[in-house]
Amino acid sequence: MAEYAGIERRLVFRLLDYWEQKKGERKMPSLNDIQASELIDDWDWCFLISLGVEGESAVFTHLGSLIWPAERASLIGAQVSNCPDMTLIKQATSFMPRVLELGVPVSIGGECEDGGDALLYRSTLMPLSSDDVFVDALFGGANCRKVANG
Amino acid sequence: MSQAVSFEVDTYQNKRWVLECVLDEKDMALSTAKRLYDSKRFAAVRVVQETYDENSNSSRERVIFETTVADRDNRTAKQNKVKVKAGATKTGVSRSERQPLRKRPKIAATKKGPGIWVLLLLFVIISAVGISALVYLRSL
Repeated sequence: MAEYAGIERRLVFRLLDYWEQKKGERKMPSLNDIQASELIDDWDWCFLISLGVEGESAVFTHLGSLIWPAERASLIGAQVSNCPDMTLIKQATSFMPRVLELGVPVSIGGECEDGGDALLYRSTLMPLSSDDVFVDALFGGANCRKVANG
Repeated sequence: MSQAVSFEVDTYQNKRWVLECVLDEKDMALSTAKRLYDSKRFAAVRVVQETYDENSNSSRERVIFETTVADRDNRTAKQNKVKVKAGATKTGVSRSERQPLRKRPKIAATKKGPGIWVLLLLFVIISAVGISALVYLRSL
């Protein structure tokens, strides 16, 4: 379990706390601030997106094994826009334009399908910036549970 | 009819509201707002519910939760009051506040019937009369 002050029940709260803590007095933290070693188990539910020049080519730089199983074809380096439909990662990145527009964390939940399973999920996507002016990366996380059939 | 509802958490900084995050769940938004408020870094926090109507392409905003500086002052004052009360229970009132003990005022005894000495005197008199009567009768 990640070691944050006042551990929250939900992954999203923990990640928002982490982002907030890393942000400090800035508008948002930078990509370098996000450390796998600090997120411990939660890191497997997280993903990182690097935005190219003017945010045109968003590519995955990290995808946790619990959000994108290792047995699937790797998406590291792949364009976010090309990630397969009917997957949790597709849902978790679907509101990327809103995060870029607002420059603040956004959290969305709902139902989706992944690998043929119906899932209830909750995800969050948070902006990162190396100069505290332009968003040049995104930090996200999502967890889910299977919806029981009938 | 297609409506999308989201909840914006704002903090009050430098005399203006600043958007902190957007969530799609009311409870999470309220919880986030309260946690930010409890961090004591912001003068106030609020949650704004935004309802977007796709058909009319318009959105409606409504503040569903808001704290103020006065809320914090009131809460702090209330907490201090509770602390003072708890302190009073534990350690007692300080010496300077303590009232000098006062003696219970004497209540004048109210006489309800004859006193003990009167009864004793009557007993002695009756006994003496009785004994005298017995002695007299024996001497006859």
